[in-house]
Amino acid sequence: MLTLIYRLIIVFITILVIRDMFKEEDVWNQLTSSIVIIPFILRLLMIK
Amino acid sequence: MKKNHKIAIGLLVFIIIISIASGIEFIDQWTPDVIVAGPGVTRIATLSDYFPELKGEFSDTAIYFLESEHPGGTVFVLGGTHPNEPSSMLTTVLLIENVRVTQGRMIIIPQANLSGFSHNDPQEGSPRSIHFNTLSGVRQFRYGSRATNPIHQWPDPDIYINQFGQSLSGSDTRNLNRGYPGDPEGNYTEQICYGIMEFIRKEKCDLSIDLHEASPEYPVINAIVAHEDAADMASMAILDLQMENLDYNLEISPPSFRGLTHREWGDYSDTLAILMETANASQGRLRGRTDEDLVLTGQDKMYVKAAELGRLYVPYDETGHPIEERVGRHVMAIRNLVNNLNFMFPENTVEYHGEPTYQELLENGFGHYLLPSE
Repeated sequence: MLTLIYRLIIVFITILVIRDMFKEEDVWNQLTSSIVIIPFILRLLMIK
Repeated sequence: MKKNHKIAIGLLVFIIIISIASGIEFIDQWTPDVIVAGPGVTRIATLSDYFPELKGEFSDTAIYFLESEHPGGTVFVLGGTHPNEPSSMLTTVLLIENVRVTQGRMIIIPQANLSGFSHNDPQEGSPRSIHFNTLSGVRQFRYGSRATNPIHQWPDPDIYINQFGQSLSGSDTRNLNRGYPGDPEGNYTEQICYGIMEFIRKEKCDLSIDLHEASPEYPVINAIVAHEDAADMASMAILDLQMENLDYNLEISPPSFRGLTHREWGDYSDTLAILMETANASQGRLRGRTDEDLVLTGQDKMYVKAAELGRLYVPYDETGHPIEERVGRHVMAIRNLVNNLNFMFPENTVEYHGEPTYQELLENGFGHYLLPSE
């Protein structure tokens, strides 16, 4: 159950960061967002 | 379409590519190691045969039986408690692939914490695998993490309170050698411990040996740690090893140091419990560059310097401590422990042959004794 909640939180944060990446005007901030998203996706898929 | 949206879409494609590439690499670490059942292996069981709750779990590790037709004792050898201590698993692989038992039986678990082999510690610079040239090609084994994979057991508490009420660091909740005697209702790692305890009790193991490695700066190194019931046998084995120019320290298992094999195996079963350590620079804190070469040779100029400063508990020079030496020490110590088991308890005699000696390992290399993997 705890893991499910953990993964739902990750989904939520990942969506927020992706949304922010699309709204962001500064390309460096967009790049930073993309780097943040990668470990979240790996965690979401329980790969690492 | 706005420019920043185009960039975001491009970055999403980039994210997907990186995630797939790194995901493939991480998942590759889940691929089982090839361990060939040698001529002495009579059957292979799994840990869930002793604790059915583990059925279908990643941790349901293989158990190799090497049995003779003549009755005798039972020796149990456990490797891979800590998958970043490679001489542990490699010694058991060597025994599985080479040994024939002529009296009694030897039972071997090469990868006690199978979950720990499914990931490693990238921030420690750990290699993902190690390789050996054999007579029939290259054999590969994973170099894993000390602890259970967090995808199997999560989260870590800030402080791990073990079954005896003692406080340990939070990450020790995933350390197999802190969770004995195990708990059938406990966490993932404690359940593996319980499965191994059940195995020892049901198979009535007379002598049980847990193989490890330690940092060169750790005091308990090149050592045999014995439960008090096994102290006499271990003392005699160490004298025999010294006759063969292999120095060992004898450590008696501290009664208050709970959760470890050398304590709980002896307290919660009738077995004679032993834990052994060799010197592994690749897990030490003083090491320099960390790669496969360091794992296999132990050559590290930082440890040579540390030895010159008197900071280590083992001799250390430019020749390092190669894997052949470390496996050879384990092989010779097991041999001498079994010899003394036979001497002290003739009704529990275990006779076997086929394993290389310490000198043969140094001369021919570890890979020489691995069987073809196909």
